Amino acid sequence: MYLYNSIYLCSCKNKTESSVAIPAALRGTKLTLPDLYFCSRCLVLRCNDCCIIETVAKYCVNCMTDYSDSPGTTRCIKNCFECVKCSSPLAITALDVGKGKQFTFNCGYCDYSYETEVITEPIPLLKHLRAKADPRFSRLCEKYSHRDSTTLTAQMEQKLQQMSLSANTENKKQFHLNRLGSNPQSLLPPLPTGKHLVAKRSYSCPGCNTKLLDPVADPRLMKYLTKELALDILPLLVAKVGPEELELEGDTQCYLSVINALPSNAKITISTVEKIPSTFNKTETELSVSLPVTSFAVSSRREKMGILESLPTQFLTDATAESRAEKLTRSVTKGGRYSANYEANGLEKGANWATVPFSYSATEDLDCDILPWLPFYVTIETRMPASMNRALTSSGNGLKLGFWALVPVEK
Amino acid sequence: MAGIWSNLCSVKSNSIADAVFFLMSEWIETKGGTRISRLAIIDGASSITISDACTVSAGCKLVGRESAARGTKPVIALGKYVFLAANCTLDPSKSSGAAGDLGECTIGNYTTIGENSVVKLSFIGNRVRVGSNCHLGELCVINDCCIIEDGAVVPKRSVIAPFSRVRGVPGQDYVVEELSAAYRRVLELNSHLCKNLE
Ligand SMILES: [Zn+2]
Ligand SMILES: [Zn+2]
Ligand SMILES: [Zn+2]
Ligand SMILES: [Zn+2]
Repeated sequence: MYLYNSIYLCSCKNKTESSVAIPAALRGTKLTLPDLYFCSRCLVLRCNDCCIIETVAKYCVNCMTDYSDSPGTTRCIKNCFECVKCSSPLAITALDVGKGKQFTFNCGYCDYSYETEVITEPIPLLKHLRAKADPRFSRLCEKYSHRDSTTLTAQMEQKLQQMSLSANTENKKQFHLNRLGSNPQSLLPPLPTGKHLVAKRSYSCPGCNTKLLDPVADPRLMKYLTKELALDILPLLVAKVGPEELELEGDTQCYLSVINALPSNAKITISTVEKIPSTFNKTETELSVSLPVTSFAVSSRREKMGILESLPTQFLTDATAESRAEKLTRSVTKGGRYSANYEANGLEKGANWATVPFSYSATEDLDCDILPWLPFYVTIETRMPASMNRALTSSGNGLKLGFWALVPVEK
Repeated sequence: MAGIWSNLCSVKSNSIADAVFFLMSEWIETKGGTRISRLAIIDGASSITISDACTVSAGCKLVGRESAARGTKPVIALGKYVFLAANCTLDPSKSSGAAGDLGECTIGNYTTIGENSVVKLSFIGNRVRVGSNCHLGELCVINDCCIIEDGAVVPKRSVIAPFSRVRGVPGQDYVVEELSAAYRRVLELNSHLCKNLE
């Protein structure tokens, strides 16, 4: 994926709020900018882990039946079945046998299959399968079906699964909850299960209860009533390794670009720690980073910007005519649109982005094919768009915030 | 290899006569901005519809139907800004049924398919990113705004909800997770960047 590969640390994982020490949580998180929300009241990043989650709707994506009004139901009760071994969809075929029908379920992925008895009455398949199951199992299913699946612990889930495996044991009297599956020879194939339902969820800020993401309930629509997305506010960070000829005495030359998402200019500062342990940089060795330019301005994003115009120069290739043309435009030194955009310190200013050079060096030998991830602490000082500013603080439209990001150095 | 000159697929709103050919270039390019590599293999071109601004890279294999009658639905249909990376296969042939029996393979706008991925007869929505080395089984429906991670195997007949991320192999580590609304824009931009940079 282009551009959105850097990991951003949500406010809930940055307890110390330190700008001088790398927060340990930066190692454990995988969230990129599109995964995060930004609360415009609290002026902080939010993620799925810290938000208040509510189920707005649930439905079967296979038959589009809306189950929002069936509390506790977690699987489709129509003819949508999934494999008990690998969760893949099951194909159902019917065979006429005398006056009845016999149904066969086949997994499209693994070797699982299940054959019903000859069914003579027109009853829903699921009902038939449930009747086949041990009545005690059915009662348990019933009991658990009144709970939300999210409240089922992994252990309970496992138990349920084991029970469905042993639901058909021939000697039902020996059905003991604590001795499940102890006699595998007596097992018939496990019964197919209904397809898992899909939920549509809303996410609210834990600090102020504002909805940050709120989908419309109708399963057929993909609209959102509210979207407070981090990628609309926070700048995007991308790092590229420089051309090989720039490698000097073990220093690898790179470029860090900051792409502004806001329709207002922004003041950016960037810093990192002196020594970056291998646990963060994902190489085998400790790295030190030299960052000659640490504060600069980035212009606003305009409406209707060209795709390549908003792209840092290091991304441009020679593969397409469009990209070659853009490269040429930027290489013009006099009279060209970007002519004045290189500053003496190496900073390159683009339409809504700026690129600063930096380098890293390893304390031990590092294979030059291995590119590290580097943590940066970034602050942004800008104005919130008037339409978005709902901050409870009386700071007017001003927005000043800092965040940690772990940026992969890309080829 | 099927001769691309003799059966260049029908490109929506552009006839073959409109195609602009660049000498010394790997690509055959249409006025609508669609690029087809000369090293792509396209069978049954008359049954394949490719919209504007698409890219069909080297080694891609599109299995159409040679004898499709005029006016019938295309066997393979690509929306605008579809990007097929090198060596991917779109093959809507049915495993059951007569040999050469074809279903449909429809791919929505701004969808990208990564290197070496195989797409069997299936429906893929708008703004979907299929990574490299993926396998999408027969009769799959991938709704809008989904990411199929590199190496993922989507089993036959799967229906993937909009805004989902799929990774892994069924029975091993197959997971479907929810994606945020932000991915609509991210995925559209990704397809533009593929077209402009690769
Ligand atoms: Zn969080
Ligand atoms: Zn269903
Ligand atoms: Zn299976
Ligand atoms: Zn808040």
